[in-house]
Amino acid sequence: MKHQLLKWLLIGYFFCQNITAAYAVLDLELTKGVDSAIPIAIVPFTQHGQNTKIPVDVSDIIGQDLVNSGRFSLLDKQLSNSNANTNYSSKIDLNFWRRKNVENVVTGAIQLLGDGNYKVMYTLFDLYKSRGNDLAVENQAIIRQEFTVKSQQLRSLAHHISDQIYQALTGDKGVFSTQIAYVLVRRDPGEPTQYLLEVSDIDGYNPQTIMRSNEPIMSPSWSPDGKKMAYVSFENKRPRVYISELATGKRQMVTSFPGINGAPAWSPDSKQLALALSKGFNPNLYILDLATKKLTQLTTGLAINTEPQWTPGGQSLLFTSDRGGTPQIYRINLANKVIERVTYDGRYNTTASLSPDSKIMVFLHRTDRGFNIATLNTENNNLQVLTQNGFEESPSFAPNGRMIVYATQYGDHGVLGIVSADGRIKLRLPSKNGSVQEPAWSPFRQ
Amino acid sequence: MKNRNAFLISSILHIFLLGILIVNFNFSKPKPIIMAAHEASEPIHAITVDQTKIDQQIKHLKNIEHRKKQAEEQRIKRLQRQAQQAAQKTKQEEQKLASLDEKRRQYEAKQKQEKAEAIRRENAEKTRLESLKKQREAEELERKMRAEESEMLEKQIKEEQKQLALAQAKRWQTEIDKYTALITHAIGRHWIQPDNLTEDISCVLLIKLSPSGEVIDVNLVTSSGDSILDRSATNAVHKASPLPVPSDPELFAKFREIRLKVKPEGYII
Repeated sequence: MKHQLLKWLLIGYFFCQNITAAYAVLDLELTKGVDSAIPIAIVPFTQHGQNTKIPVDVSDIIGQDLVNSGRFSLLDKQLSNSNANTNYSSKIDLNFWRRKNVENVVTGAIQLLGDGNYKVMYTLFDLYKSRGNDLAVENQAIIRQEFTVKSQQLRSLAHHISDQIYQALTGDKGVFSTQIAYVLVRRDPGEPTQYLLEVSDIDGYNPQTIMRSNEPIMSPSWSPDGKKMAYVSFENKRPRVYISELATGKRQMVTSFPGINGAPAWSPDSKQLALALSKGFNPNLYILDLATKKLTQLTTGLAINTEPQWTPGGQSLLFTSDRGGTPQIYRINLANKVIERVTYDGRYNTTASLSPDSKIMVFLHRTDRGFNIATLNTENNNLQVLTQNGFEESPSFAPNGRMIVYATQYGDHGVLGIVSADGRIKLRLPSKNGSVQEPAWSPFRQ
Repeated sequence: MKNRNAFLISSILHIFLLGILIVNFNFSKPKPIIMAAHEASEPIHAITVDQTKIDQQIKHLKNIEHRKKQAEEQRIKRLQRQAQQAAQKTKQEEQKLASLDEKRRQYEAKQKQEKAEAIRRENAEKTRLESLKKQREAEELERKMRAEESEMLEKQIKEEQKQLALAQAKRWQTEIDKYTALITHAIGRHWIQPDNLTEDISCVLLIKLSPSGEVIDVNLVTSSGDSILDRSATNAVHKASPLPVPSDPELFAKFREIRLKVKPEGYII
């Protein structure tokens, strides 16, 4: 009797085991992925309508933008081009692209309208968005838009499309429509040296001159709304801080103290300017209230205190000081004026600023290999040297915190370089007729 | 049955014989006695006397006397005969009874014999049954022993099967572990981990595989709240198709449906 019961229990047990074996779902956990760029195919946009030359290769600009961000890898143009099945508006051949091992495809078309404007249409596909094959475009599209723009807006439209794609696929706001301010130094033979304060697209196109001088221009700083710029000009043989309105070119002098008037930095609320003023002695940090012109001194003493940068919340300033014997980064709490040292690695750390999320601090760090761009993870104090040229200076965060622009030397003149915040990708912006210095990345366009 | 029949037959026979006896006694009632009594009771009428007549009468009387005498003699003779007959009859009866007795004795003897026979048979049957029972008991014992033996054997087999199953399960587990690692690695290699995530988020995918490892379906069961992570994970599974799966169909059954928790924690180095 007992045995019988046991037997049935056993049978039941094995039966149940088999049942569970047949219907169980295997639980797995995935925690490690690859640290690589997202593969994407940008199919050259087809041209609709009259056989006129489109002045700007929109799809090429989009591809460049995405690649330059360091977060995308572009499928070979030849490959992208070779697929006949890319007529805009027709169905997409999912399997063709899936075999190319890309996750996303961008197709588009440009049409010259009768009024001289251009109609630009594009679609961003997620090849795995819906199941099945060769489905209607709508089912695989993440973005599907069309724009009508003037000829001269085609390039900025391309950047805008890049921003949309970037944000859709990375979750971060794209910075392709932002700008970079820099100082261009021209030393043409037989001519006096020229200093130009310029603003251009981040790929170096569309440069606009804000100010031109035969004396040095330094330390451009964007206002938080991106409409004004503060900078130091030596136009009267000695440094003074000016603010220029970008749209109108209107400018005003802000400080003109004896000695150094340098390193202006806008507060996040746009109301104040942090500065380094020497007033005939060693430079110290001050805050200037832009409305009242009231000046507040933050640091005292005989050490050099300069290069103030606001932390994103505006509660404190990072600055460079040699008060410890070597130039290092310090932080001053604006509420209680307490100063604490931030960098300890190496004998030279200057020009610090924080990423918008305050998680990374970028600065100039000198090692045996010269002056390079480095980051410090503010959470774990991990120091990472991002560049190796040894001639770097003036690092500045992109408003999304994903990239850093800096000045470097290429050949016999200065150029701008961009490095991703993780150091994975570096690129050099096209060199200008002259040396480029002191870049400053703009805020997002508002 | 046979016994009962014999008993029945003997009973009927008894009753029958008894009947015959009774009927016989009835018939042997002495009739002549009744007849004599009737003659003797006849009255005598004599009134006139005359010599001749007397003589005649005497003669007549003598005749009568004679006849009476003769009749008496005859009657005696008859009675004697009758007595003789009766004696004979009695004798016959006795003989008959004796024969009946004999018969009864014989019958009783037979009965006795039969009874003895029955008892003997009964005893024989009893012995037979007993021996049969003994045999059966012996058989039962043997059967029991055999059952126990086979039960032990069965137990042994079961134990061995259990060991085998355990070994199999162990082998399976190593196989499962192996393919689990292969699958996770294959997906991981295709998973471009988003690097701008807020910490501690994860999504859960339900993956359906064909026996060849082809990804038939990927369903987002639990979103991480971050569409980028969700998509990167889903795409990774699709791109990793076909996934490495065991060829053994039973083992593959374990991999038919996979619930994959995707929780970014770093990069494959």
